[in-house]
Amino acid sequence: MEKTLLYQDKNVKKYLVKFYKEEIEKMENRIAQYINNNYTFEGFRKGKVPREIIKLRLGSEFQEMLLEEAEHELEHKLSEEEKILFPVIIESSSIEDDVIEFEVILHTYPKISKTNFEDMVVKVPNSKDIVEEYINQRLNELLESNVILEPKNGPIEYGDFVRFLYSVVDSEDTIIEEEMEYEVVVREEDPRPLTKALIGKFNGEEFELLIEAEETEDGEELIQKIKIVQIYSRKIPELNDNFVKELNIEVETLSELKEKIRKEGEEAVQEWEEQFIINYILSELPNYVEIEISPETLNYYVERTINDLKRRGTYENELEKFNNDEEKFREDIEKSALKWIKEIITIEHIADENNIIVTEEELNQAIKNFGNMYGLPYGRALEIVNSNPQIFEELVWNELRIKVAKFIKEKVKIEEFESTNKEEEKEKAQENEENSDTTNYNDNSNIEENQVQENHESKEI
Amino acid sequence: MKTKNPHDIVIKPILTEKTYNLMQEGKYTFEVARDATKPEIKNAIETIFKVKVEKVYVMNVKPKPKRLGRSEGYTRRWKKAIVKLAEGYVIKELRASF
Repeated sequence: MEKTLLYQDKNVKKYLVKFYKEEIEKMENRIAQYINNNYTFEGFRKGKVPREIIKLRLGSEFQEMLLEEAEHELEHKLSEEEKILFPVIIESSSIEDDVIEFEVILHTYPKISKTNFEDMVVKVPNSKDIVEEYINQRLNELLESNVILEPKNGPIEYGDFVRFLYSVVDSEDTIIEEEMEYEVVVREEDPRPLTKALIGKFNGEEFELLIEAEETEDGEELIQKIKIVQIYSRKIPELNDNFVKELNIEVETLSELKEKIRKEGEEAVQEWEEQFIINYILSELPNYVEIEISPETLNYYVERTINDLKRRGTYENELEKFNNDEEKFREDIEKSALKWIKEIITIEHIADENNIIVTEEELNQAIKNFGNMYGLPYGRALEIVNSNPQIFEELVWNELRIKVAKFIKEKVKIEEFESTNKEEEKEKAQENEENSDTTNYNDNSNIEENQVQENHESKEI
Repeated sequence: MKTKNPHDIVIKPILTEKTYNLMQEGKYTFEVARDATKPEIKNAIETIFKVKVEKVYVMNVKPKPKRLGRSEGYTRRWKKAIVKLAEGYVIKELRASF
């Protein structure tokens, strides 16, 4: 195969590719062998038809097959020689006596002109605060689960523990549920009408509660007949060494218990922090990379995506999200394309340069995790992964992303900040996790993505 | 006497493993009209394929008994001609290259 560069604009290259006699003969032999194995010709034993006879009999069809075979060969060789973002685009092809010619356009991986991960600052909440809150929460849980219950005769108040029996009947007095036992801690913040109705009731007292039609499954009004069995007042034990001793756990004193919970908390926070940083790095990575990309590549991606959406019949829906402004929609696709391309080339580039690969052990762990996620045993998960190259590639790619993010972590600045609102942080962390999955308009079956994945797959494994 | 059309004389080429091997010796096999003579075949081949014929071998293929269920019969009789071309000539239409 002879390759001549006709034109180049950054990462877009146009080549004239020629196949000569020797290569053509090899391709013809492959076609002849395939035909011989699958078809019989009158006058010849199966598998004994000479190539020339096949050519003679099939005429122009043989030429078409030859061209197709040459296209496969071309795609295979070019994707081996150059890393490409999309499948090879064949602009024209010709077949003459001893030469097959193709004019092809390749969207190769753009060059990374600059990375400035050193400027990336990952802000993580102060782990001490989180651990302290974790300790308090755990201790409260322990106290709540070891609360002392004392039978009470007075009316039910907030904070009491109540055991009662209830029956449910419909408007015609037909019993739906009978004498069911239920226990509840009456809390002020509990919005259920039942808990509100319990306030002020005494032991043995009976009352009825109407369940509105919109709250029932059948949309029918029901009546709940309730009989209080026993009211208990709840006394929260005092948090001291005695309480810890009574718990019968490995530790004896309160300080030991706190230390134990602290260790647990610290481990959990460390794990969470690591995950938070990795997700943050992966989501922010495209913003710290500059690449030399041709607008042709982005245009091609946009066109392909729009065509794909139209083919799937989801274009109109997607466009509606942008108030039917096509320009804005195209801009968004372009943005997501740039993000996707930057992530792919950066991760592969760093992995190549620093010899980062996914080992068999890591892959096995990823398969185990995949199985756990769907409640599958390892053997079954392995079977699924092996039979579905797409899942396999995705697992490997995810592992590689994480490994590269860990590598980048050494370069970025990690700053701790005082947490003021825990909920906000949790939300932020969740957002980061969501952002780490690159927005992509193409589904998994998309050719471009598969192509790229195929490319990096073949390298890493 | 009216001259025969060469395409009425040469009916079709015979392409089998055996005839393909003969082609490598410059011998091409055809089914020809049953009443065609050697000189007529020679002229017809030379006219159709623009080659020079050195020698023509002819043979009458006898009908073979054939049976399809209860009905018995014979295959058709036909005339086979093997044409040897002069040195350096090939029929491109029948062989691309060896």
